[in-house]
Parts: sequence; structure tokens; C-alpha cells
Amino acid sequence: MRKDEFMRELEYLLQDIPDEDKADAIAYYQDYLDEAGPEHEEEVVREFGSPERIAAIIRADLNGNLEDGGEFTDQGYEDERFREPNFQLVKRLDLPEPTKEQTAGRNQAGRAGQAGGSSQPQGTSRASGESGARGRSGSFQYGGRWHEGAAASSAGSSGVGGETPRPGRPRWAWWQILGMILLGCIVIPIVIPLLLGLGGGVIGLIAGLGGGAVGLLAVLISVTIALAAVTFALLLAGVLLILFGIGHLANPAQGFLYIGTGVGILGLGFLCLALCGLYYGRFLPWLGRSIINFISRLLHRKGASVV
Amino acid sequence: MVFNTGAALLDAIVLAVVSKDLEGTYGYKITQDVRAVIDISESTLYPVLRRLQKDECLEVYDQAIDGRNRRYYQITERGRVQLNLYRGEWGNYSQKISRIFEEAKV
Repeated sequence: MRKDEFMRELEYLLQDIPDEDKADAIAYYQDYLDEAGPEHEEEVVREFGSPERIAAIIRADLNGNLEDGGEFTDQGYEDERFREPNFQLVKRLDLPEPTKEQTAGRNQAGRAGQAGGSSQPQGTSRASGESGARGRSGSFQYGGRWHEGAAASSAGSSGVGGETPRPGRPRWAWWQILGMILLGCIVIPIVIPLLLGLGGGVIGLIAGLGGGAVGLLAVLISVTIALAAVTFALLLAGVLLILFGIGHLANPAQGFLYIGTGVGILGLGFLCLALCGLYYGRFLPWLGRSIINFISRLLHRKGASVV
Repeated sequence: MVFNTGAALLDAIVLAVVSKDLEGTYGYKITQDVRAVIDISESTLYPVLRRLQKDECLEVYDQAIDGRNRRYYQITERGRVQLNLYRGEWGNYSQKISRIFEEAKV
């Protein structure tokens, strides 16, 4: 991974921490990689492990729980929580020599393994618990260097490591095949109804969509009718009220009240009329065009795919 | 090395390394200098430097170099006091350990 890529990802991963802390961390690592220069850049990034690991360390530091999680060893800062599955592998790449390493590791592996077992409580409580659970006690205590040897010794003691793993396709024992058949017997009765059920669900969904479309159409029609009716009714009521008011002008107060109300309602009617203009003149034609376009596009695509 | 470096010892080493440059030094160089003595990984020091900075044992300042900012770390008066304390403790401790090894019959 290159510097720019690393920094981009780190910045992305630190989005949610306070701006000041983020700027500080980004500035530090940017500066660090700049200082390392093009010739060391890749090596440094490799030793960082991954942006996720660096981000996790920064975050843990912010939360103030860096002190009780890991410890500084001569192999660097060790913390189970920041160890990635392939971090060990990454670290091993920059070890000096595998052959010399292995012999040295094997010599001390026995001692390291014993010491790792007995001096476990001396390690930090939480980390040792975790590492113990993962069965890597020896490797944690003594850093990455003896991981291989320690793992080999522990594997040897548990009696699994005796046979050498053969590369290539694994051969299946009869009980594995029997297991597969049994599994099939159990799985098939479950999977087939499940698939049928899924199919039913899909059909139901399509039917539902169809129903929704019908409902939408019904709403559209009723709106179309109702708008016209309301507009007509308002206009009519307004005119009638005004006429009624003129008829009652013998009693001016009553007459003017009617006329005023009539004018108001007539105004509402005109407003609806304008709305009608928009609805019938613009919206319905647009809707029609859209539907026709949609259908023709569907037909077109179908035709294209057939041809 | 089979002996672990505890947090306090690492603090002391970092303080000592930084104190050597009167006008300050920067993250990458501190890491390389510490790596010359103990085997730490490249990512070890950021939290350590931050902690020392928070404890006011170190102070930082930025300086433009080749069109970018380089962050310099400098030891404070308080840092010197702390370093002196660490140095005394270490002298005491290492002397006792050394003596017991010298007296040991191999």
C-alpha cells in the first residue's frame, strides 16, 4: 500500500473522532511517512500493519484505555486487541533470515513455551486472558519473533503437529462423506420449502404492486372528478349567494353579508379554477406522456433484447 | 532481547532521545533513534509522544520545511525533571540487577 492510499484510508477511518485529535494524528503520520522518504515508505507502511490497526490504536488512546490493554515489549507495543489475523505474517516479513531464525527459535521455543505458561499472570490481565483463549500464550508474551517456534512446540505437545500437512486436494474420509449425505437429508427438506415460500412471496409482492397501481389509478380518477365538481360547486354557490344578497338588499346588513360571503366563495372558486387549469392543462398531459413513454421504453427494451 | 520494556522505561528512553536535540526533533527521527536501542515497531511512539505531551514533559512546534509542516518535539523543564528521576531510578535498579548477576555462580 502506498503512502497516499494509507493516509486516505486513515483519514476516512478517523472521521468520527474530534477534529483536533484527528488533525493531530493525521499530521503526525503524514509527517512520519514524508520523513521516511520514498525509499522507506513502503516498508514503514507495511510495518504499520493496516490503516485499521493504526486507527484502532489512536482511538484506544483517546478513550484512555491504552494503558491497561497492552504493554511495551522489546518487540514493540503488544496488544492483542490491535493484532490482526495477518499482522504476525506481516511482521515476519521483515525478520532477518528465516533459516537462522527457525533454529534459534526452536532452541528457545521450549524455554519460551515453559516460561510463557508459568509467567502468564505477569502479563497484563485482559490481554493474557484473550491470548490464552486463542491459544497463543507463548507468542504474545515474547513478541512476534518466536511465534513460529512456540506455535510448533505447543502444537507438538498437543500431538497434532506430528504429521506433515500435505498440499493439494484433501482426501475425504468415509465419515465425512456420510456426514455430507446426512446433512443433505436434513438440509433439502428445509431448503426446498423455503425456496417455495420465497417464490410465493415474490408472487405476492407482484400482486401487491398491481393492487397498488390500481389504487393509485382510482385516486387519480376520483381527484380528477372531485376537483372539477368542487370548482363548479364553489363558482355556482358564489354566484347564487351574490344574487340572493342583491335580492335581500331591502335589509342592507343581511344583503351585504350575503354578497360578501358570495364574493369570498366566488374567489375560492376562481382559485380552484386556476388549479383546474394547472391540473387538466399541465399535470394530466404530463402524466399521460410519462406513462406512454414508460410503456414504449419497456416495449422497446423487450424488443431489443429479443432481437 | 528477552526482557520487556515497560511503559515507564519507554517514556524515559524517549525523553532521553528528545533531550539530546536542544532545538527539538521529529517523530520519525525519534522512532529511528529509539529503534537503535530497543526493538519497537514504527507505530509505537505516537501514543507515547502524545501522552508525554499531555503530561507537559514535551512540547511541540511546527516548522515549515520543503513546503510542508514538520512537527518538532522538545523537552520541557518538567520533562527534564522527570528524566532525571528516571535516570536515578534506572541507575539504582540496573546496578542492583548487575550486582546479582555478577555474584551469580554460573
